Amino acid sequence: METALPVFIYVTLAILFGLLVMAVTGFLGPKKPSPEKLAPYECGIQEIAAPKRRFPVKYLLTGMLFIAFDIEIVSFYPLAILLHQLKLFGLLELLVFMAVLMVGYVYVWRKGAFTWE
Amino acid sequence: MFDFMNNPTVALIVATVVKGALLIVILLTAFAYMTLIERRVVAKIQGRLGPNRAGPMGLFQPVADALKMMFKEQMIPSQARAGIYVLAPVISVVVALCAFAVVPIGNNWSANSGVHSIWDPFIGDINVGLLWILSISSLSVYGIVLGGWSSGNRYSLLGALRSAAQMVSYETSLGLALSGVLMWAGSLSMVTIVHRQLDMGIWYICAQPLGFVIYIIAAVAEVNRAPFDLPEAEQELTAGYLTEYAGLRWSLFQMAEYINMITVSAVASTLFFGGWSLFGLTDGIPILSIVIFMIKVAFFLFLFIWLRATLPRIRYDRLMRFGWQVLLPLAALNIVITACTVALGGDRFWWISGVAGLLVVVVMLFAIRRQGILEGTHFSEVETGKPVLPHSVRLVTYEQEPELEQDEDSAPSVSQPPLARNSNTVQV
Repeated sequence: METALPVFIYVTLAILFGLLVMAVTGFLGPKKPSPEKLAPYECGIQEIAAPKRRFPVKYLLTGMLFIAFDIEIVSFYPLAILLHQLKLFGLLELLVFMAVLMVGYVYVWRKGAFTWE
Repeated sequence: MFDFMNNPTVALIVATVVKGALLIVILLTAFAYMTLIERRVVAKIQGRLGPNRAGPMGLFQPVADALKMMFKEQMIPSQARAGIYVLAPVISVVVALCAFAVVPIGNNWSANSGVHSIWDPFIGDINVGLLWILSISSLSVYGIVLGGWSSGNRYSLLGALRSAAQMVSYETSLGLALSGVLMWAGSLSMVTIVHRQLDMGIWYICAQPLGFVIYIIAAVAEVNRAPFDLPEAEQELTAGYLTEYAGLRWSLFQMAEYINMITVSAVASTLFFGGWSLFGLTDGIPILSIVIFMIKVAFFLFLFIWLRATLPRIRYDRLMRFGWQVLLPLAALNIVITACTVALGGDRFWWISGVAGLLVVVVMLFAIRRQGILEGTHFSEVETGKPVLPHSVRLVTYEQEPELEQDEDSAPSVSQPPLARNSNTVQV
């Protein structure tokens, strides 16, 4: 707690700074809105249709892959830190872990999840 | 007068508030002058002058820019979701500032690793320091995605999506590359990692050359800098997620990007270049350690600018392939090499993993030159044999080129279909 307290204080300071800037943006500067000004930027032409709030499923797939791999990596950190003490046992454990991870990786690769068309 | 400082908790809070405010001011100043330095350096590299009118050598340019930005009109586009639109830049910049909390900027004032004072030049030495930086900096994707999505503009949305996919893709390699350092250090605390490097007598770049290369590539992609600045690819997406932002809100996004750059550089110098240490030069003079740390960070910041001025932007499908199919396996290989050295050898055998890592880097460079790993993009060939650009980069439907046999005399250079260079083979 004694070591974490400064970090929390600093985070509070950063948030205060952010809120201050957000408040300031409202006051400074002129305010002369017009329909043309508020229209979404479309390279000077009139917008034909509102942007669909849908996106290619590929992005979602990448996000899911990220979750799978990143959680594996985070769960890998404690092992990495303790490797000094675990010696050979830790190494074998790590290699097994890596092998399992690589099986999934190769599967995802062969399925074409990394190929963007 | 300073009686309240006798209470240790109150003293800690006061010291942290002072140090924190100072750090925020330093980061903001560094951001402001980073923009100037970047414009000047890029101008020099491109044979231009750059901004040199405001003050001597253009030193007041950041002030002029800031004033201009502050008094620009702030509006909320009619299609935007107002609340999120306003909040997104703030999220970006708060997150960027927070990540710096655990970076040790210099040695303890007593220059003795056992003696701590509340005024030591870092905010907090928490035992999960590196994890804090990784987790906080992965939050920065929220600011970008929310900003792009809430703008109600198709360019913003596309830029935000690209940015999200890119950042998460390179974050895996980044995290894996850093775990090599963790194996040597045996701790997540940034302060301890620096002291471990002092104990071992080497910088971890010597034991982790491969990890360092992977980290620096992934870091450039993480902060959306050229050549990985796809989210802001101005030829395709106007300005990406920044399209609908102006004035101070736009500066907040820029601020977040530059502060992230500073954080990434600070982490690189702390983990791989011994932080504030320089061959025992800082013994007894703690203030010198801060200067040395700043020089190291400045070197990496210069590297970022250098890269931006030198390299062209990489195409999106290649970017994703490079992240997942080249960097990630290399990072895994780095871990296996390091783990074998640490578990079987110990501290004295750091050079084994160093040499092995260096070998992999060299082989990697030759492989990229010979085989063209970046070139092997697959294109869907339809029955007619006409080359088709990937969906992710295709903007218009590509029609078959008209045959130009008759005009060969008048325009011989046009007879080549413009997409023929996108074949799978590479001429060396």
